[in-house]
Amino acid sequence: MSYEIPLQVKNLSFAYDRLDVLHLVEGDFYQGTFYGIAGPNGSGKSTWLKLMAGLNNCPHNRIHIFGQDIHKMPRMTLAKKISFVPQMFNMKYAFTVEEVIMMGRYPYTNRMTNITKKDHDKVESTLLETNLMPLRNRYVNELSGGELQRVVIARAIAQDTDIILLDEPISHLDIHYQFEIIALLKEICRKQNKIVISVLHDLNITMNHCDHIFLMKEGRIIKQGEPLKILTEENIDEVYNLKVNMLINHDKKWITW
Amino acid sequence: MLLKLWRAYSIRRHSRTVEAGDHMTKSMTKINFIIAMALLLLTIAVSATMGSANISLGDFVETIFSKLPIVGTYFETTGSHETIIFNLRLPRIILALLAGMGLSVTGCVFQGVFSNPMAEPYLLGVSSGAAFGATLAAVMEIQMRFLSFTTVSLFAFIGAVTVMLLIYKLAVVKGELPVSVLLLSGLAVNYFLSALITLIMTFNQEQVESVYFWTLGSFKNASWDKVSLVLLVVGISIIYIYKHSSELDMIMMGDEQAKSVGVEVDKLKKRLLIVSSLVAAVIVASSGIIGFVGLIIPHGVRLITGPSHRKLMPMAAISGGIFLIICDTIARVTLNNKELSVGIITALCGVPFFLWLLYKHRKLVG
Repeated sequence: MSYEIPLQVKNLSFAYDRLDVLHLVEGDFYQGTFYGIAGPNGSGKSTWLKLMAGLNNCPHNRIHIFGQDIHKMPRMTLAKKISFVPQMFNMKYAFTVEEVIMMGRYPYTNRMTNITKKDHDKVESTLLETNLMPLRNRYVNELSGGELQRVVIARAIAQDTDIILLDEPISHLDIHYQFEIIALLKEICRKQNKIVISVLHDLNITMNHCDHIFLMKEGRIIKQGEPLKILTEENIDEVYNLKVNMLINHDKKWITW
Repeated sequence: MLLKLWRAYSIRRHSRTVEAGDHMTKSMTKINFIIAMALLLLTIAVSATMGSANISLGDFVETIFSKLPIVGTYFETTGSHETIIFNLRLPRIILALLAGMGLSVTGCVFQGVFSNPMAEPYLLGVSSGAAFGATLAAVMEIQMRFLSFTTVSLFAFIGAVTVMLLIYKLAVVKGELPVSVLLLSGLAVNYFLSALITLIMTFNQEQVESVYFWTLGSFKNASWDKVSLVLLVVGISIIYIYKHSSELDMIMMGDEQAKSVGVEVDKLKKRLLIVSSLVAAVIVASSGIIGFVGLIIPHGVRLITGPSHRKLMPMAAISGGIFLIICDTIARVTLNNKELSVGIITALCGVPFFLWLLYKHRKLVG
């Protein structure tokens, strides 16, 4: 039954004004699994992610977290269950790394009690986990793209949610940081038994690192399942309208064109 | 001069914190705050000694202490000093203090909510609405009084609130406030109201001077009645705003980020903007349209405290108070027989600073 599934999306359709962007999207998500959402630009990936994050007004009875409809959920309650790492962030102000990570504790504080020792402890452990200890007093507007991405992910970790959503977290990073961020995401997914759902553009990374992927086109899920079975020449041609070749090396598959 | 001091101070502070690491920042915040409080008290005392009647700093301290319980019996004061200090100078100084505090804190709110350095408390049309209300009152020659607020003040308040709600309604889309729409509708309403004011003035030229000087702002008509009402509004609002300082930080990082950590962004923005505009309207009604304080003080202070509102707002409140007390003191002592408008002094300091800011941030703005 529905309450057994940590995150369940059923028959989800969505339109901006009159423009349909999502059509009957479905998916069940389980803890300890790293999910990838792939598809061409404008296929509705980000919209879906934002609906799950509660940033777009979600229709009734479409998305459930442990059986609860997120439509009725107050923002504070939702923020204890789902954290979101957006594609673009505004970091022109000189907040310190630690201050930004502390913002992730907001759902647990209230105006009367302020920040507790528990919040400080969580921020400390997050700083350790994400290797941000040396940067804790640096200003975020002086960080590199990769460091900044780690800070925003750290904020999501400090938010202590079962589900972490990420919108293209590695698209603008060099390969070193791409590796680092993906390794970090996989680690928190396994060790802390979280559901990590990420929109990813790089099909090779999607194929070799995700546990389960959704391949989308024009607001629909075309295929979903194990990456190696889903990302085939035929499916990629269908979705991206591009003929690709598969290379196999060291038991890994690579897509090339 | 004050700005120079600030900058020198902030540079010194910056180099020191870099050396000493983060453990300094918490105590630095406290030290900053204590220094600011001391400066404020000094400013009040010095300002109270300045003016046509000759009162020394010693006289002032004695007069104040003589009013205190217990220690009061050890101090003596003359009746005339007491009258001048308590009936003339102190209400005026306190009103300037409250206006400076209110405008600076609401300036922080507007800049935070719109995540835009050019936002200020009159953004929702409070000033043009107030000017229009004041003009109507001057022309219609109705006599009303509420506490020590004149018809002009009352009409100014009503005008400010009406225009604020109008511009808000014009700009709001599905609970969100796009800055560009807000600025455009504000600008348009502003032009329209100035045209109306000019039109009304064309037919009532004898009132032009009084309305014109009213709009420039002055604390000349300060009284304890006025002070207590402004204190009530500004005090409650500042506490309300301060309680939301961490949310303001998050809103500055972007709406999506704030929403995803659980902030009810749209509701909160609406409440903060309306509370802040009301504060601005009450201050305008009590002492005219004093410009630029709400713009320059938050910026100057941010250089010292950083962007975090929990640190920024208390310092902005104190600095704004100091700034307006100094401006008002200049306004009342410069000429022997006549007063300058505070608005002139704040604008003379404010405009160059604003232009410097624009010059520095022109990449971000453009």
